[in-house]
Amino acid sequence: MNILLDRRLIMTAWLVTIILLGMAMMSGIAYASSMTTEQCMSCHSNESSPMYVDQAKIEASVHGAFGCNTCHMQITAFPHQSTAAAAAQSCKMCHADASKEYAESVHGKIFAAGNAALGCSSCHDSHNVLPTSHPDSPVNRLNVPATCASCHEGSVPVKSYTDSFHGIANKFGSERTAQCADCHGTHNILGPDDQNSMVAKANVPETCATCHKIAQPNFAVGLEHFEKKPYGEGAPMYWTLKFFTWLTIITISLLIIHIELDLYRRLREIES
Amino acid sequence: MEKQTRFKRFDIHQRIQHGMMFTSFIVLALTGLPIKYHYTGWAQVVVNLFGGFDNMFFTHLTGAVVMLASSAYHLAYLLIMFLIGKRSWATMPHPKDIIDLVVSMKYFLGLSKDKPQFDRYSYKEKFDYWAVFWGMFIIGGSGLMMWFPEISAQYFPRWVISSARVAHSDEAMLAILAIFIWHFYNVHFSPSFFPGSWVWWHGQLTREEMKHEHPIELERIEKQQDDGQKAIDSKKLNV
Repeated sequence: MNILLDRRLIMTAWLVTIILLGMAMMSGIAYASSMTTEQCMSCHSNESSPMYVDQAKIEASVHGAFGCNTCHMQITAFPHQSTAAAAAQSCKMCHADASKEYAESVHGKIFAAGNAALGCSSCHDSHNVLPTSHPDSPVNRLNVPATCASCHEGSVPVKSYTDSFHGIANKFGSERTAQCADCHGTHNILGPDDQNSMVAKANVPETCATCHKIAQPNFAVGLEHFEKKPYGEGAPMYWTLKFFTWLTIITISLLIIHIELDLYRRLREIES
Repeated sequence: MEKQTRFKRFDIHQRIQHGMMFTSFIVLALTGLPIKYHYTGWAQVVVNLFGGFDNMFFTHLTGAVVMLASSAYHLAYLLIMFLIGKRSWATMPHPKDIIDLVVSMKYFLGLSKDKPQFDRYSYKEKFDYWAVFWGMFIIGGSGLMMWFPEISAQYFPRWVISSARVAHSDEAMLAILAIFIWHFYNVHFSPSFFPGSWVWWHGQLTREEMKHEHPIELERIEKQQDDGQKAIDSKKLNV
């Protein structure tokens, strides 16, 4: 009887152990795979939902081969919180160099201070990250000014760039002309007061020389981004504009008066 | 129709210079205005016609080379004319130009029946001639400064170069308006020449045109011819 009881007990213990082990293993597998892309899309493919994700866009992006959980690692169960900010942190898992440069830049410091609007996806977009050569990429040469302007709109640099030869050529599709990042850098953007900045006074000649061959010290004498105002740095350009505008108005007016008087005399001759 | 005596006004060099100048002028205006007015819809249309900005701008620089070459050609022409003793000061401003302008105004307003009597170049033509000098200095100079920033930055701070850019297209607007309003009135739209004088092409004026436009020059030429004829005649008599 005792022996029988012991054997039953041992059998039961084995069974429980196996079931528990099995459950542990099952849950272990489930944890390791977190959630599959299919599982994510079962909710996120609903177009009318605010959390709609266009899977075609992701598949067409440079990250098309990855599943959702490559970047959204934190999501292990349903329901879950928004993970946009956390996903931005995932970029550095692969892009360590860019991420390190970015962390030291003005943008990176503002981001670290809690402004999530300045993360990687602010410039690179999130789901449809495209190669820079792609015409739709926000960091394509031709789209960079608009991407920067999405935050810097209305600032003196953006306004003066729009009217500059570089800006006009860029707008009309020239790949050769300088855009914001050519002078300011990309991930490593620093303010002009930082001595490591590409646009620090001491570094401006070298920065210009990446296209304009000779690093003339005069490249740093005066501003690239100025306002045409009657005083300050933009004054010479302002007064040049005024001088030629009035020269044109006065000269052309006098010439037109001369033409009209000539025609007036001819009219009188015909009438007489 | 009776064949009229024709007077040579412009030699082949002057006509080539004018041809280089006006063809490049049209090209430069066409390829430069879309840059000045980049924010308009038609600017994009012109860029597209050239197949992109880089092509359009290359065309602009090509036009610039032709225009600078025409200016160099003219300066060399003046120098050679000077050296071979055929120099002429006829284009120089003269107090008579002011008097002619006043006479013109009186005539236009009906205060006088006397038309101004022009010599080889009227004050209008002298204005056009020197306007090109001024224009070439401002537009050509500023254009070269922008084309070669490395070299211009060797001599000038960048506010000079930035001001040059402002001057470039503003002076160009003055030139475009002056040419297409003033010059075109004087040589195309004026009832005296409509649809256009051909002197830029064949370089000749009829005696009638000379009498109308340059009576003092005509008088002088005919007096010289008469004197020459008299000299020949007197030689003949002596023989």
